[in-house]
Amino acid sequence: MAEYNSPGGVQKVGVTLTLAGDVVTGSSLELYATGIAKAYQNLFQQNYSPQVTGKKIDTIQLGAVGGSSLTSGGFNDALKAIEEQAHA
Amino acid sequence: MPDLGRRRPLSAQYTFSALGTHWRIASPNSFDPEIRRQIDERVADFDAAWSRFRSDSVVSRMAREPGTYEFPPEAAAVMSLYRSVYELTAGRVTPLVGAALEHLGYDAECTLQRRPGIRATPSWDDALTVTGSSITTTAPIVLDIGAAGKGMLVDLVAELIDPDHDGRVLVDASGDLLHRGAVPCRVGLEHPLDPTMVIGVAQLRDASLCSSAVNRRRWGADLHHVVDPFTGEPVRGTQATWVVAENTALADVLATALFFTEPSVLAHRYSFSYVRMSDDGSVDWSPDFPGELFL
Repeated sequence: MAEYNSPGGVQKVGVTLTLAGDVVTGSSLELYATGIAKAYQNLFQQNYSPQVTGKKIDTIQLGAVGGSSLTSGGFNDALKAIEEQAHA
Repeated sequence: MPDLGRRRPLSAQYTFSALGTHWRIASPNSFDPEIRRQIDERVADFDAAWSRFRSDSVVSRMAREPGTYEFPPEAAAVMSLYRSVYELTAGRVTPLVGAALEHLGYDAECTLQRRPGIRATPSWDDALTVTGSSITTTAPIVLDIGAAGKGMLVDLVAELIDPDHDGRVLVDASGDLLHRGAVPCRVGLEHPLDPTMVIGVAQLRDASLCSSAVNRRRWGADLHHVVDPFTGEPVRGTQATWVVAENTALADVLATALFFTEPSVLAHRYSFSYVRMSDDGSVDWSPDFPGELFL
């Protein structure tokens, strides 16, 4: 948790880091600002670009998964043929 | 699917293939033969008009000779959405990118062989006149509505599902989703580099979620299906996007638009929330994205 002075008073922002050994493997922000400072913290959060770490899909309960569409049989066959050619 | 509905599960499922991929519709009500027939017919009509991958489709005829072509009624909405996003992205999301896609090898025969040189994409006003659901061309044009088409078909199929009882339904078109009902569906955001992982979970409720990613539909080291019409090359910088919006066609096209345009520009006209992952693995998102990210 860190504090800073804004024209609207003292504001707080929290940063949580996840460590594996000495390496930062994850981070997250908690915003506590009030008033106009809240808009600025939201803006800061939008421009804050941490790396994703992710979770294994079989460790959480999901109703569906959102991602790129599986490709058609024709596409997969063509890709396989190209790979085989490349290794021939 | 324990979290799809607490009172009564979405126990009825209808699965089928459409637009070259797997679809699943889940509802608390069973799908009687008449509903299935209507869904099949809707999908077949859509495919017969818009598929670049069959020689008898309307867009394939359009690619062979110019003229005035009559499309199904959804053409008006598809083309109007495309036109709006075409303008917001300064021409970088366009249904005229089809020839450039084919040139890179993503063609009807799936040759996946890049041709020499660069294929230029014509400007909308030079190439197309849209009047209602008919489209007039003055030269052969490869029309590709890939950025919005699947989302549009999701919306059209969802309209056919009987809204009685509590009106809940989930349409899952291989990763592009529509949800109706009061109980949210937990949707994992697939990691573009590892399909056994998710980078977060969205709580999807009475809205649509679409994703665009360059992990599939990729051939060769540098070739994927999100092509920049300005360069004729696959776009760089972004590897995956997720968009939640009020309908699936909109979520679909905005997911592609985020590869080319800042979200703030799109937010001038549309209400949506998003997550975007760059080539370097960093993510940015809108504060109102309904869910959590595993950072």
